[in-house]
Amino acid sequence: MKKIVIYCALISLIGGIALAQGALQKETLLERIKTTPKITPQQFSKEREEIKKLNEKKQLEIRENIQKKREERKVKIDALKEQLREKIKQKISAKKQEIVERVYERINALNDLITNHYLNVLDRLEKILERIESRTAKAKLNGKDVSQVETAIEKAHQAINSAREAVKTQAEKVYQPPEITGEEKLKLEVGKLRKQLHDDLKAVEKLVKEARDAVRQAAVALAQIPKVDELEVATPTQPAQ
Amino acid sequence: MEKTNQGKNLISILGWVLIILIVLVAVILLLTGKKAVQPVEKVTPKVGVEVKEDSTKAIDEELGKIEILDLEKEFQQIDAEINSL
Repeated sequence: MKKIVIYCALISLIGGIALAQGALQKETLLERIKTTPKITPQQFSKEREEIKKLNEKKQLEIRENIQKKREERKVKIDALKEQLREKIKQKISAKKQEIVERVYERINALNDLITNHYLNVLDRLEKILERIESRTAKAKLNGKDVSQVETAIEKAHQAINSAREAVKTQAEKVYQPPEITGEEKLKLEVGKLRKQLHDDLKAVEKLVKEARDAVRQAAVALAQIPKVDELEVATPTQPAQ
Repeated sequence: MEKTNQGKNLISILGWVLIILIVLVAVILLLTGKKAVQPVEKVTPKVGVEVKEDSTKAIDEELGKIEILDLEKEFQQIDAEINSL
């Protein structure tokens, strides 16, 4: 009997944790209003604020993580720069040595600059998407058909997440110094490094642009709902006693 | 006798003209006086209509502000360095 009671208690505990996690995972407004169709304007604003805070927290965590990785990366890059200096000392002139070192430094700095910029763009796109979701939720609460907007929003979320993952991976990359054999092929050898960074950033840029287009598509779908800007969350009427 | 009649007519005409003038002046005064009494219309400052942050207009504006850096431009400095090698 005791065992049964313990098992029941354990199952309900695990179930409770699972349910709580399920509730926490509802990170979009549309998911939240599904469970509360008779939401008050105050509750709606509260839910929106919570979602905004969750998004901001997530964005901050990503940035802190990248910053931490960058500090580790900086140590590695400094060591690699030192190795490069030693390697090219005997192979090329002092003037060209300086240029090669500078290019190597700039390659890594440019990677930081561009990945930071992409992160900013993605954060802003996420904020815009939250606004689109808010207006879509209001339309849904007013009985409008928002299925097309919901699909577009889902796609935009996926596009933003994919782009963000790519930016994170790119931001953590450490570019190896160019292999220098001598002055003859110097331009070609340094050019290879430049091409490598350019190709990598171009691939990430493509994903960021796709995310922007996906958010735009969601905005276009939203604008097709007649008089969508006039719709607000209505105060639920009390049942007559 | 005729002269006195003519004089009387002239006086009555002048009297009428005077009465008409007085009435006209009175009407003008009355009208202008009414205007002065009329309450001054309150000029309410025009407050710009607040744009909701989740309106389609605000969303479009925000989307329009998003610019993605031109990679070729950002690589210009590195390219110049490589070309000088």
